[in-house]
Amino acid sequence: MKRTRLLFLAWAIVLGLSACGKAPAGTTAASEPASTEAPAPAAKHLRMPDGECQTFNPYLANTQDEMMNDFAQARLYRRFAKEDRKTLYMRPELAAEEPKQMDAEGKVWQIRIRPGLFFTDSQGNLTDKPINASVFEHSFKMALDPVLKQRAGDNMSIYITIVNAKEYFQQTPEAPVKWEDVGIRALDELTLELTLATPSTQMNVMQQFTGYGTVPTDPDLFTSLMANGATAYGTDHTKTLYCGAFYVTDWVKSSAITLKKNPNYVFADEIKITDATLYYVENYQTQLEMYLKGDLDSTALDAEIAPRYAEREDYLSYPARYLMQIEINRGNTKKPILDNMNFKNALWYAVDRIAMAKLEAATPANYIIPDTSLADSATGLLFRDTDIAKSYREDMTASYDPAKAKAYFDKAMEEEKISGKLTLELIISPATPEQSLCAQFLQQHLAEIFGEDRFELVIRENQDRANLMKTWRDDPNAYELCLSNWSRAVTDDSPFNVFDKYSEVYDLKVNAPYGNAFINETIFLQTTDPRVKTDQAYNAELAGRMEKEALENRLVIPMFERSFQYLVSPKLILPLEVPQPSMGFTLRPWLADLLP
Amino acid sequence: MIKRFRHNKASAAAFFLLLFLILMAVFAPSFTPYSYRGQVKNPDGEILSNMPPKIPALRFLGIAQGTAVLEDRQTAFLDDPARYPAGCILEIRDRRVTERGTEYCDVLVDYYRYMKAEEGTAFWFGTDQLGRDIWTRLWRGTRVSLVIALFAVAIDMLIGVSWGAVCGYYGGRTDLIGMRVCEIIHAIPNVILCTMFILLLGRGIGTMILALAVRNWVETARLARAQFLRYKEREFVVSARAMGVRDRRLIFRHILPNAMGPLVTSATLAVPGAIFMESFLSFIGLGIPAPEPSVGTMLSDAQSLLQTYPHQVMLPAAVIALLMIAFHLLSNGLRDAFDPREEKGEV
Amino acid sequence: MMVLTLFVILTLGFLVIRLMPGSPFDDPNYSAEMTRMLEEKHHLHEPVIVQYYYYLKDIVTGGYWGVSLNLEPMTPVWTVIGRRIPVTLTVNFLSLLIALPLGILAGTWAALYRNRWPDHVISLLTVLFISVPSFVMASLLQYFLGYKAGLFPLIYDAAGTEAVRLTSLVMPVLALSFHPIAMICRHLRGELSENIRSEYMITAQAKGLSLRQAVFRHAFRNSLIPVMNIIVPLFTNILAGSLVIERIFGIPGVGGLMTRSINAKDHWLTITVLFFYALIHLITVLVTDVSYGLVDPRIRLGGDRDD
Repeated sequence: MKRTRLLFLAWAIVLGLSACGKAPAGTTAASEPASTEAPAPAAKHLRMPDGECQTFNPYLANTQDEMMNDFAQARLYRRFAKEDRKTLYMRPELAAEEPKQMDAEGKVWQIRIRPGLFFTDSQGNLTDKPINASVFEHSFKMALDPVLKQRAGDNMSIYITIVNAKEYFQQTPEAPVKWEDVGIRALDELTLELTLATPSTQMNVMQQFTGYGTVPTDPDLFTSLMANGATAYGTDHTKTLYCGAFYVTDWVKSSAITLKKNPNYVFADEIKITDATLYYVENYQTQLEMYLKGDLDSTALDAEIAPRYAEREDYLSYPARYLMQIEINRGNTKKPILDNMNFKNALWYAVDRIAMAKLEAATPANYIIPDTSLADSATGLLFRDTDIAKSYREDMTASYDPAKAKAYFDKAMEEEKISGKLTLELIISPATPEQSLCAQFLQQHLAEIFGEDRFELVIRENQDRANLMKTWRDDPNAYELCLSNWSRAVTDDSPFNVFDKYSEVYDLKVNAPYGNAFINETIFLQTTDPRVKTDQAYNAELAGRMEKEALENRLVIPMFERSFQYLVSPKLILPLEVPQPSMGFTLRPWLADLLP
Repeated sequence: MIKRFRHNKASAAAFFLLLFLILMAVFAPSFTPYSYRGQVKNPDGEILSNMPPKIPALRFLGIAQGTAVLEDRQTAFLDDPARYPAGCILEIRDRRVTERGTEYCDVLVDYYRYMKAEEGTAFWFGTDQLGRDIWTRLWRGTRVSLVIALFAVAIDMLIGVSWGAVCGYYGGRTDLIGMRVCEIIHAIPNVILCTMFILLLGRGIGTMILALAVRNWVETARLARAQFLRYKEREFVVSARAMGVRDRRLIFRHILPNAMGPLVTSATLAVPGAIFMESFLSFIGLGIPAPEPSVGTMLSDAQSLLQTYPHQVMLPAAVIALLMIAFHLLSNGLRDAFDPREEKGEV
Repeated sequence: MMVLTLFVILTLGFLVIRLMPGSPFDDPNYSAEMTRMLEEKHHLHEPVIVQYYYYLKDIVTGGYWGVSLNLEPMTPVWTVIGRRIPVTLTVNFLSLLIALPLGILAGTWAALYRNRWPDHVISLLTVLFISVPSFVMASLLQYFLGYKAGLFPLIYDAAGTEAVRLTSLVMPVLALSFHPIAMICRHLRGELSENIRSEYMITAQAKGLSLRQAVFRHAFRNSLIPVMNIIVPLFTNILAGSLVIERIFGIPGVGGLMTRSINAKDHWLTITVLFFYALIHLITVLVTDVSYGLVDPRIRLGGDRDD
C-alpha cells in the first residue's frame, strides 16, 4: 500500500514538474526588458495570421517570409499608401531621394542614402552599426555571393540588369569574376552608384530595390556568422538586426513572431501600431475560428468557405495576380497529340471556366495577362481595357462549348490515328488544395465531354513538378500536362513581362517547351529596344500582340484568375481603403491603424 | 467453440453490425443514381457543391431536410432573385443593424432550391465541394478501406505466421537471426516505417496495403513463434515426428491448426488497427490518390470543414467508429471463444 | 544492439530519402541554373553511395548532421529539432501522466464492478475513445471547447504569457490522452478480472480480507505488470498521435516537423527526425525494462514485508 502511495506521489511530482518546468523556446518573451521609448498613450496590439516564416536572412527569404520582412526590414524604396487611402506611390525609404540618372542613355544611376541611419537590435536598442552606402555594397555582395548561393542572387536582375551581377553570382572556379567588375559601387559614405548593362527607367531602378532581397544587413554580424559556406544570419531573432518599422523580440519557430514598434525607424511617427504578433496557423478553419472569437485581427479565407462570408461587412477580396492554367508539353514525342492543334482546341473549349471559377471563388479567365496589369501606370489604365486587348478577346460564354470540344477531339483522335482510349497524365503540385480540386474537376469533366471510353486523365501529385519542367530539354517526355499557377512577380504591373516565361530566351524561372518564334523575337526586344522599358504604350502594344499569338496557338489553356479572400476586423484600419490593382498579396498591415 | 461465440451477445451484435457494414459497402454504391466521382450539376450547369443531407423519408422527424442557415446576410439582397431563387427562403432570423448602418440577418433556406437543384433531387448524406454524392462515396470508401485493411492483414498474417513458424519450429541460429531482424524492424515506430515506405513507392492502394503490413507482421511473427514453441514439444508433435512426418507437414498439419486461435484473434484486432492507420496516413497527406475515396481520405479532406459543413466530417467519422467497434467486439468474442478460461468465473 | 538498430534505421532512412525522386531545390522560383548550383554545393548530384559516405563521415568525424535546407535554412538540424523537443515531450509526458491514473482508475473500477453498469459505461466510453481517430477528437475539442465554449485558446499560443501557454496545452494534452486512457483501462480490466478469480485471491479472501482489500493488496500489483508492458507501445502511440495533434493545435514541436520536412524535401532534417523518433522509441523500451523492477516483486530482490 505504501508503495502505491509512493508511486502516486511520484506521479504528482513529475506532473507538476513537467507542467512548470516546461520552457519551450523563448521564455524571454514574457520578461521583456522595459523599453526606452516614451510611454505610448495606449498599446495597439495587432495580431495577424502569417505563413510559416523560415528565415530572417533576407537573401534566403521566400515569399512566406514576406510579411515578417515587411514589418521588420526597410528597403531603399517601397510603395506606401497615399493620404487618401486610394492609391500607392513609390517612396524613398532608406534612400534620401529618387535615383538620379547620370548618363544620357540611362545606364548609370546614383542613389543617395539617408544620413545618420543605424540598425536596431532585438532588444530595441539603437546599435552603433550604421546603414550607409558601403553597407549596401556589402549587402549586395553577400546577396550575390557565389559560395553562399542564396535565393536573392537569382532575383537580382529582374527589373534592371546590373553589369556582371549575374556573372558574379554564377561564376565557377575556372572562370572567376571579380567583385570590382560588378556594377554596384559605394562612391562615398552616402552615395551608391549602379552601372547597368541595358538602359532603364527611374521606376524600374526603384522597383528593383523594393524587394526584400535588397534589405541591408550588417557586414560585421553577417560575416561573423559565416562558416562552411553558409551563414547563420537570420536563423534566430537575435542573430538579425532590424531597420524596418518593427523589431522582433521573440520568434518561436513555426508558431509565432512577436514584434515591437521600432522607435528608430525612418518614418517611426507614421507607424501607429505599437505591438504585433504574427501567428502561424496552418488550417484556414482554425484561423477563421480564431478571428471570429477575436483572437486575430484578420483571416484569410479558403475558397471552399469564402462564399459563405461574402456578404459580411468585414469581407475583402483581393486579386491575386495569377492564373491557373493547363500547360501542355507539346514537345512530347510519345504523345504527339499534345502538339495537335485540334486537340488543343478541344481542351480550350472543353474547360468550363465559369463553373471552375465558382468552385474556387475566382474569376473565369480566357486570357493570359492578369486583370490587374497596367497599360499606363500614370492614368491607371488597365491592360484589359485597352483596345488591343479587347480586339481579340473571346466572349467568356463562347469559350466553353462541349459540342465543339467533342468535335475537335474526335478530329484530333482521327488525325493521330488513336482508336482506343487516350490516357494523359496531369501533374499537380502536392499540398495545394486549389490545384487538387481543379484537377479532380477536370478529370471528371473532360471524361464526360470526350467520352469516358475515349479519354482518361490521370492525376499525379508530384513533388518534383518544378524540376520536371526544368529538365524538358533533356527529356522531352518528362511530362504531358501540368497545372500551373505561376505568375510574374506580384508587384510587377507590366503586361509585357508576363510573357517572359513563354519564350526560350528566358531562363530565370521555370521554362517550358513553348518555343513560339514570334514570342521569342518579341521578348528578345527588351534587351535590344529600350522603348520596351521606357514607353508603356509600346510595351502594352507588344504584350497584346504576344497574348494574341499565345492564345491563337493555344500555348496554354488559361482557366481562372485566383483572388484572395479575407475577413478584416472593422477595428483594423488598413492603409488602403479598397484593394487596388498592383497591390500585391499583402494588406500592408504594418502601415495600418488599430481602433480600440 | 462456435456455440460459445454465439452465446456472447456483444459479439453476435458486432457480427451483425459488421455484416451490415460490409453489405452496405458492397451493394450501396451500385444502388444510387450517382457515381462516386460524378459531379452533379443543376439545370444551369452549376455544380451542386456542399449540399446538406436530405432524406425525404425522415420528414416526420424534421431532420436532414436539406436546409441550411446562411449567416450574416444583408437584408437588402433578400428580394434579389439572382441570389435567392423563388421560394428558397424559409425563415428570416435575428435581424440586426451594424454600426455602419447595414442591416443583417440570418436566413434559413431550402438549400436545394437555393442552389436551383432539379426538383426531386435528394442527396441522403449531402455532397462535397465537387458536387459528388457523399452517400455513394462513403460506402465506396468503406469498401476501399475494408479491402485495404483486409489485404494488409492477410499479407501480415502470411509473412508473420511463416516467419514465426520457421523461427519457433527450427529454433537455434535460425530463431536467433529471425528474431533479431524482427527486433530491428520493431524498433522503428510504425508511422515512420509506413511513411518511408509510401515515400519510396509513391501513393496508391497497393502501396498503402504493403505499408500497413510492413511492420505489423513482426507482431504476428512473435505470436506465431510463441505458439510454435509452446506446441513443438507437445506429445502429439513429438510422436508425429517419431513416426517420420516431414517438417512441412508437421508445421502445417499438426502445429498450425492448434496454434490458430490466438492468431485469428490478433488478426481480427489488426483489421481496425489498419483502418485507423490508413486514416492517420491520409491525414498526414499520404493517403490513396483521388478520385478514389476511402474513409480515411474523406475524413482528412473534410476535417478542416467541421464548422462550416459538419456532416462531411461526422458521417465518415461515424462509419469509421462503427467499423472499429464492430471489429473490437468481434475480436473480444473470438478471444473468449478460443480461450474458455475467461468464461469460467461467469454465469 | 541499440547502436546497430539505430545504424540500420539511419541507413534505411538515408536510402529512402535519397532514392525518392526530386531534390530539395525544386522550387519553382529557382532557375534551372540555380537548382543545379545548389545541388552541386550540397553534393546532391553525386551517386547515392558517395553521398552516404559523405554523410556518415560527417557524422562520425565531426558530429555534423547537416543543416536544414528549406524549413529553417542553414540551421543545424539538431538545433531545429532541439528547440522543439521540450514542447513535444511536455505534451507527450503530460498526456501519459494524465492517462495513467485515469486509465488505471477506470480499469480497476470496471473490473470491480464487472458486468454491472459502471463496467458497461466505462466499456462504452473505452470503445468510443479507441474508435474515433484522434484528429477527429482534436477537431471536436477545438470546435466545442475552444471555439463554442471559449474555454481554451484555439491553438498553442507561443507569444502568450506562461499561464496562457499552459492553458493552451490543455486541449492537445486531452486529445492525446483519450486513446491511452482507453487502452490502459481495457488492459487493466482484463488482467484484473482474471486475477480476481485466481486462487491466491480466493486464499486472500479466505484469510478474511474484503474483496476490495484483496484487490488492492494483491491483484492490483500483479495486474500492473502487463500494463507496464503496454506503456511502450502507448508512448509510441502518443508520439505518433502528436504528429497530427501538433499540426491541429499549432504546437511548435517535433511532430509537425516530420510531415513538413518531407513535403519540403528537407532531406537531412527528415532523416534526423526519423532517427530522433527511433531513438526515443528505443529509450522508452529501455526505461520500461528497468521499471519492471519497481512493480514486480519477483524481479525485485529481497522481498517486501508489505506483501
